[in-house]
Amino acid sequence: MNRSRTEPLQSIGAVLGAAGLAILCVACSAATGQAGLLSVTDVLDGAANRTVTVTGRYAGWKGACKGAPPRTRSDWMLVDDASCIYVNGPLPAGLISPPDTTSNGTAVVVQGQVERAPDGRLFLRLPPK
Amino acid sequence: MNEIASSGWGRLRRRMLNGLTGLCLGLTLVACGGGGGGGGGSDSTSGNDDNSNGGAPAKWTYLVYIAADNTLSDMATLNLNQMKAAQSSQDVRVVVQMEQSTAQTAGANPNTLRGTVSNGTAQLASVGQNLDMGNKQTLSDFIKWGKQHYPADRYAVVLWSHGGGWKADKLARGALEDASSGSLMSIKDIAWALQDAGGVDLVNFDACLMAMYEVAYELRHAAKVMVGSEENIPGTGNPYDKIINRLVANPAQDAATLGQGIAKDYVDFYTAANRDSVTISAIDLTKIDALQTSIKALAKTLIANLAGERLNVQAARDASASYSNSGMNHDLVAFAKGLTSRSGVQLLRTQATEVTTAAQAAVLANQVLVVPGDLPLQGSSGLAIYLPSPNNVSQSELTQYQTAATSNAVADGEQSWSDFVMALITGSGGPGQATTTGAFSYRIEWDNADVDLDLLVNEPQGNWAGPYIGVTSVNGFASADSWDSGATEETYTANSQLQKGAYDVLVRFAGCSKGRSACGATTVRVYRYDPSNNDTAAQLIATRTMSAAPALPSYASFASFEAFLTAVKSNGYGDWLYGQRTTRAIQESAKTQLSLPKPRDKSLPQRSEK
Repeated sequence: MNRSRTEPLQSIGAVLGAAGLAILCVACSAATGQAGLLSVTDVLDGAANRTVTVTGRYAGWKGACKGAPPRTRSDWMLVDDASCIYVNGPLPAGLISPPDTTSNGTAVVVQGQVERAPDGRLFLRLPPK
Repeated sequence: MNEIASSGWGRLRRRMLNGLTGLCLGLTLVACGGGGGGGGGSDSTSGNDDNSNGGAPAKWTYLVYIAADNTLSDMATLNLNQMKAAQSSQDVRVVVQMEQSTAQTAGANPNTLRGTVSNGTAQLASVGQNLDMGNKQTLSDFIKWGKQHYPADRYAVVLWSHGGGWKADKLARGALEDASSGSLMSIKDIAWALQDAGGVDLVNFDACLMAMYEVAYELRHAAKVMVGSEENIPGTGNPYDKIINRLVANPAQDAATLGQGIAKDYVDFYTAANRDSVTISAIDLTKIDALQTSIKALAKTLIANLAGERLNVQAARDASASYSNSGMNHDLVAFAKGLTSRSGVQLLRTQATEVTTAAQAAVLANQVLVVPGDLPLQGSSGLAIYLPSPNNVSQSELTQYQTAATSNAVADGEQSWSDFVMALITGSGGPGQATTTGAFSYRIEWDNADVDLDLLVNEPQGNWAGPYIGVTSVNGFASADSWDSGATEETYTANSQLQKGAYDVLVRFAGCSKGRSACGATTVRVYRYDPSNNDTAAQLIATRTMSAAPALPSYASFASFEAFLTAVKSNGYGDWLYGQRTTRAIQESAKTQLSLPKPRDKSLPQRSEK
């Protein structure tokens, strides 16, 4: 997988930020549209059954996704300015679980499989920890 | 008869709900028969008596409290239809209070509904207002109302909603979220509500993550049996038709039998669906005091021995099944057994075994379904316990945990589980702690997706860390293992507070990635980000081609760790790359040698051993 030169910095920054160094995550959104790093809208505009790396803002249970969560009641939402997608799987390290909203708005990068729910909606499934 | 039946809104609602799921055949909210109404208090009129028993108590009244004014709103419709599809009996009364979200479910009634389900009909009437379903008084009022109007020999209450075990919100932990009211009921308030209403025989959490020691302890005087899940639950929750049919088929069964039956029906339902890994257990709440006693004893000994046992504790934790999106809850018995097998302290082994025995005595039923490709829930034994890692917990949350009932039922000379968790996380667990501060991160990327590489970090005490080893380690945490994710990148990040010593960063050519039989070579790039080293951006510290050959002799064949490192550093082997050593606070020579005694978890497993 070819990746941009700036991406290691962004990803490491996101993780270090989660560890307590509040740095660098502001750079995440700038990468939207780069090859290999998709926005939420990009994912929803694409197909299912593919592995993607997505940047977006964590929204817990307070995003704009409509309908019930596709897999578990604790599925959470990832948003960008235009779209919202449910995510099934572990939270990025350092984020506080919903319904606490403290972490809502945090820029994160996650990697997972795009799947289609029985009702046709696309959602993102992350590998378990 | 009621406000829904007399309005066009009711017909609209029926059409909308019918459109939402294919299971809405015969939805009869427009034919509400009353069953309550009027403010949600316990003094409401009884209304429709289709569900009554001519004044004689039923055998069971099955109370379902559906707090669905949130993202789960549509699922409430589905579950209500399951209840309607169930058989009816004068011996079993099904009583419901439900609130949905108008934002999520088109046409949903903005008010709270209350009534009964029988003979294929949901006779729910508005109580005339939008109650706060996350308020303890609302729950208590519903149970009192159900008991008053539908008396029975035994009562079960289902708490349907979001849930987060003891932990869900730093201000209001628990279950039963009402988004429009901005509330989530705490475990303490749930216990209060159940007790204020006179208690129930069985409480069933149709909500995520509630089968926890902390929850069971809080509810031990509020119910006889608790049914819940250690893991998140699928959106569809309970199979209500099967559970009610079970009750109708044998209304003389006691709470323990019903709890066991619910667990069986639940796992049977999801086995047939073959989509989700699930856990479900029934807990005998009369056995929880004994469990609390054994856990306090273990906590005290753990704290006293933490300096020497920290690695064993963390290894037992990381090897046990974990739950929730952030992995803070771990299976209690799996952890205790892991501690028993790892600890070198006889008293710890004995007390961990006593915890295992007490927990197993409390579990009436435990059902686990593992669907290939979904969550690896093997080893789940029915009760989880809060056991976070430094990377997924905050000081404020630790402080909140100290307010749990389990944390406060502590006599002089005793120590609680929260005392132990605090010591484990903050490093205040006795002498010998050698921690410092200064997070750093390493990342590798490679260009051949057919190849699987492992980023490995040997931490100061000699243990291996990295994505291949596990998501957390003594001093840090890792990204997903590329073997599982299919990615061509891995990351290791040290905690802000970490052990003093040397952190050796290596890359291993693990072989071909999953599903590939041939893969060739790849070029790997190693990046470091270490603010303590004045890094202001990720630094590329190494680039090299890696391949399966020539292969380094096995790790176990080296006499010491330093001998192993020397061989890797020679760059004479295609399958190993030495990245760098990052030190914190001590000389490099203080690095633990392989020849020194080490806990078992310090070996480096091969891929085939995972």
